[in-house]
Amino acid sequence: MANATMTLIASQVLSSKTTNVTFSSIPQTYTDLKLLLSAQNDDGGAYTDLLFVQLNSDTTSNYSETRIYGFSTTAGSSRTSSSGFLAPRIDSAGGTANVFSCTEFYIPNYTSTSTKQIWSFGVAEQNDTSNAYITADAELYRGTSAITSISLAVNGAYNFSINSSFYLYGIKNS
Amino acid sequence: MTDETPTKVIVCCADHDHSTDPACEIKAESVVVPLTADEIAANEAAAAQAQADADARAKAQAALDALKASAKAKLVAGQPLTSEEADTLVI
Repeated sequence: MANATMTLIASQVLSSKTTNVTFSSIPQTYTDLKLLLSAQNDDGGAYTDLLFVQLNSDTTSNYSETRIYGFSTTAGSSRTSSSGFLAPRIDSAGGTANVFSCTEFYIPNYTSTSTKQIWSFGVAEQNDTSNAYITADAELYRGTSAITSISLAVNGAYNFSINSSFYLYGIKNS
Repeated sequence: MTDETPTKVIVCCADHDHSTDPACEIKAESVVVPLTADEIAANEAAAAQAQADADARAKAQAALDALKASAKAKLVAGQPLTSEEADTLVI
């Protein structure tokens, strides 16, 4: 029986704020990828902002997602199509100080040369009673090349805050 | 946003000697580099679009809230609803 393994490919903990974090030259030796991040951005005018994710430096309209979300006591769903994934919200500097969101992406069969279905989930907690945000996204990437790079930014071009951390794992059977 | 030069971080995930392997584009495990003028312009455009999208969502939500309030007031008063107002009540 094969044993599933999860290996840390690369990680980055920010020592200064930055607009964009890119994992490049991703090895093609795994079956799936898992990306975890604990992040905040420097938008002082909001509690949360959307992540903006692009694959393979592809800036065309190859991305769409359907999401369900809960915000405080409100639940809803929406669909977007853009030049990047508008992925789960992360905490912003305008919310509670020193609070970082938790976000996960699962990218199965990332070496495929067909379209790719991706899943993401994120929680932006605020340590208060009215501004927590939880999101689950079903994402479709229409690009047909194997994924070799993943680029993360904050929608609205804000900076990731210092100490935001990013971990990319590879998953395969040993 | 601030006046500081915006930067990006690139992390090389390849399992090679970053300093000597010709295939390593950044010659390090990770580098912090300033954004190019084109990237800064693209970011500014993205920020403007994000704000425009947020404004549009807020405007649409305000219009929907107004329709719902109007529908509720007319129902309470026993007045006929417009088609748009009725749509806000249909699940």
